[in-house]
Amino acid sequence: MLELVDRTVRYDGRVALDRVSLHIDDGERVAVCGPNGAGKSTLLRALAGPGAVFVPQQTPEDLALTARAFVMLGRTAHLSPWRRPAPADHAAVARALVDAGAAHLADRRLDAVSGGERRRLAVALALASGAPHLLLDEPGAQLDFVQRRALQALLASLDRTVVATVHELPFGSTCFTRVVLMSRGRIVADGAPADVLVPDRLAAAWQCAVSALPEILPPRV
Amino acid sequence: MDAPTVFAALVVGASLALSGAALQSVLRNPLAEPYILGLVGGASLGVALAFQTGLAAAAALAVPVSAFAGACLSLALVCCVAHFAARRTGGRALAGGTVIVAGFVTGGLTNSLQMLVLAYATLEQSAAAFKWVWGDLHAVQPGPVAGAAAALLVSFLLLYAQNRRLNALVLGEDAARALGVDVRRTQLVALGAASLATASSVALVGAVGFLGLIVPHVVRRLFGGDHRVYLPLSAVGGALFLVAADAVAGLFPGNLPVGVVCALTGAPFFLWLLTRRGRA
Repeated sequence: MLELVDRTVRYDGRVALDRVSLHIDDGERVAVCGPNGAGKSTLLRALAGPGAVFVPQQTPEDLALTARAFVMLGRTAHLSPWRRPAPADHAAVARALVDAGAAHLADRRLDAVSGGERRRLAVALALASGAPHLLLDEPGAQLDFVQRRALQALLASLDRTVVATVHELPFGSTCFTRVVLMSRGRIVADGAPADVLVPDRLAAAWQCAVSALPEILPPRV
Repeated sequence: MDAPTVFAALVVGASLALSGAALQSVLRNPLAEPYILGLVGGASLGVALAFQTGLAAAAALAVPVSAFAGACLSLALVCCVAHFAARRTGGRALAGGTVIVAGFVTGGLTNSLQMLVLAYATLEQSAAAFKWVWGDLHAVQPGPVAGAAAALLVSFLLLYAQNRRLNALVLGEDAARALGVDVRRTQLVALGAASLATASSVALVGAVGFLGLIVPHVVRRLFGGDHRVYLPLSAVGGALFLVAADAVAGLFPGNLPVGVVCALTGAPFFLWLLTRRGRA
């Protein structure tokens, strides 16, 4: 279970999270949506902690590590600086690589994999940590729609809590069971995707007229 | 080259390269280096002050201790400036080019303070300080070399004990924290160890620049960024580099300081790195 109660976060005086309360049950898959600067990433960072591993939007591209060593970073809390990783750590990494569909990348260097593959490896890192809750910041950024759908299918197949900020509204996605809509540091709507992703609420979040929305709304069926 | 000289070159080279490796990791900046960040300048100022105040004559340990204090103070100044500048612009603390600019300015400040100290010194005091600050590998005594070797060992062990946490820190502070890393403690230990290694080598042979920039870069390029490999190989590479640089310096007539050879190879390397980063 993840919970925030009446949380306020300020960056240099500017309010990034404004008295936000949020309760997320185990196993929920939550998409956090909203305009730029709404506080989506800040919400994710505020949720991070023991048992809730945070995967940043960008992992360094020039990292001179193999994919396997990168995923091993997820085991940091279990590793000793003086000894090699234990068999249990190697097993966790191998399982995470398989679960994230990235086993074939294990021995590649991180600077030699594509953006989509790097996102998969970041998910594998989070899985390897063993944390029951995954907080993913823009996991679909810089992916084309096929890669993004594949990533969502991967997230839907995991038996973990997933909270992900998403830039593109997840219309028609079966991945997310819940959508949290943010605007100006507050949660303005929270519920099933079909209830939140409606013109009036989106117009309120983006503070524009509903008539300006058709471009981002899916075609009517 | 006699035995103390070779040993001093090994210790100083390893210390500066180790310090550079730690600074590049913690500040997440490939341009970080003890000389560029003003640590060497701060340590040199500490040495000059120790001579000027007469502390150096009173106690032998005063020189390395005040070098360490100078290095720590200038690094703290650099980190504070970078931290507040990053907060104002909404960037992450310690990251970005601000830390390099702050280092350059701090280096300039400590250099002019050192000039100021020496300007008011007597001729004997300034001669003694100059001999130390601009001294070279060939004036060392076995005792101080052993002391610097002990400082190197301590800072290496402090850094190596952080290797898993330093690895996790490449993901960013928030991600590392969620993976169970005490971020502030790791950064403080690593910066303190870098200051110790730098200060002990400045107290021993004076200012040697750019070594801490080149060696960690080459090691990372060749062997990867895993700190379990990166830290020890940087130290070994730095040790070998300075012995080689001293051998090269010996090929020239007169008493060419080894720092000159390092700067002559290091400065072009730094400029080349700047152009590469600009393109990326």
